[in-house]
Amino acid sequence: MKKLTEKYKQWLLTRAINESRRKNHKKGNRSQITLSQWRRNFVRNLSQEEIENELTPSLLKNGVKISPPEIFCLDKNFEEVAFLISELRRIPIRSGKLKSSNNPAVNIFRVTKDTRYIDFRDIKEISPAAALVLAAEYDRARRLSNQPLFTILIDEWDPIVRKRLDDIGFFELLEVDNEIENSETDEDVAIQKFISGNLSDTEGSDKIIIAVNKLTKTLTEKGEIVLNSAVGEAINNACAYAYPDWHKFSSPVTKQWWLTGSADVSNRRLKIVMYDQGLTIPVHFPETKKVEILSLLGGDDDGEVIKKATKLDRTSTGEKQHGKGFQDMKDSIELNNSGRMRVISRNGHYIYEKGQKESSFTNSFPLHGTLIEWEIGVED
Amino acid sequence: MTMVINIAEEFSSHPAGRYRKDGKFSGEKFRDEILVPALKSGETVTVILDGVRSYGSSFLEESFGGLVRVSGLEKSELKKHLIIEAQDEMYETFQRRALKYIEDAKVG
Repeated sequence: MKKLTEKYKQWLLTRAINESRRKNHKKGNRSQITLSQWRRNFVRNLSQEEIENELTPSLLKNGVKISPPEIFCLDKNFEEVAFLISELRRIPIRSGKLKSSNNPAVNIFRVTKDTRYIDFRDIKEISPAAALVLAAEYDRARRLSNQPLFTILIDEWDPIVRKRLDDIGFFELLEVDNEIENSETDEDVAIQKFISGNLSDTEGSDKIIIAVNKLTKTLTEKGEIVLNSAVGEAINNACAYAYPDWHKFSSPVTKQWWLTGSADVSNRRLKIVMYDQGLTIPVHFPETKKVEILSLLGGDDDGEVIKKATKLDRTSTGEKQHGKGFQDMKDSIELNNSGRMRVISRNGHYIYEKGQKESSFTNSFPLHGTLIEWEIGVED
Repeated sequence: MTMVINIAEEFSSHPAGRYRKDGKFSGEKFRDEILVPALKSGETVTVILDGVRSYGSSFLEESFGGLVRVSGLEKSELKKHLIIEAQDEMYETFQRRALKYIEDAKVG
């Protein structure tokens, strides 16, 4: 038997690769592969060290950096966050072509100018709601491709941003151990790990409400039950109306809802956030012909459409209207001394705040889906 | 004779959703599998709301309004034979809602 020298091993490897290429070429497959294939074939097999030491430098050198906004908050910086989410949604679907070489061990780290990555180091502040939307997007991509997405240079992220993403369960989606010490941050906001589902379920939301309320002591027992009833209605709306079979989505969806909660301990305020990636209220809700026409025009008055949806008379409009449980949601605000409910759906933004006149407006950039946030405090 | 149904103990402490397709503990399931059979037994039925951790309007309307809308029971009969009870004050809101859903329900 011929001795396997290094040179001979390389020759065998090259021959095998060339043979494989010839076969692929005959089938009409070029040696270039799509970004999703690349991830499927290679990235999931890489260790964290390989990602950090080999893939990351290649990405930084050759890839296209997507810069998230410094303030990753739907309240303070909605348009930029929504734009980033939209960009992120393109990553798993878009086919980036990779250069090929004879040695796969080298080739896998060669990234072309089409390869896009998000540099989380740019984020200096992240809100619970925006973190949930981000996590949902990564969860969606993970479910659709059956593998986790990856991120780079985690050690260089802002510690509080990293802690919040860790709390919400972001690193579990990446299948990465985030070894950050609580002492590294001076965080007074505790975020609950998100839950997700595709059926009406109020047991998980109850646990989240109890957990955050234990920290803030904001709600009475009745307040917990009323809030959980409201959240349950939001979840039920997502299950019943957000993903109808008749709607053609512009990108694949997993028909899930996502939920988290956060406790601002020093200010004794809690937040519960629910998000779905469905067709949105302005698309679904046809209360009047006028609203329907406005809706079809492309979001000129989405804020007004949401406001009308929340006023639906739940006992007289039949049972197939989106927004049937909005009164429950408003009740959960009215019960407390201080509270605010916010609904963002496509381009629309609606705010219902205790003691204030309800308001709505329309953003120039849409959110993929519907986000409902309850924020409750002990006093104004 | 009175039959007592404690929702938290005999159905779920976390009921949610309108239809069976919505989830495991929907209003449709509670109505069809527990409430209607109890009412059809001819006894007076007392439903205890206490102990449950969520009462969304979808669940309540389908459970109680659905008795008239879907199951075809007469409102006058329900007034005689169905008692919806809130032992703790915190469940009175849901009691009022359930009664209103019956009152507002229209057949078919």
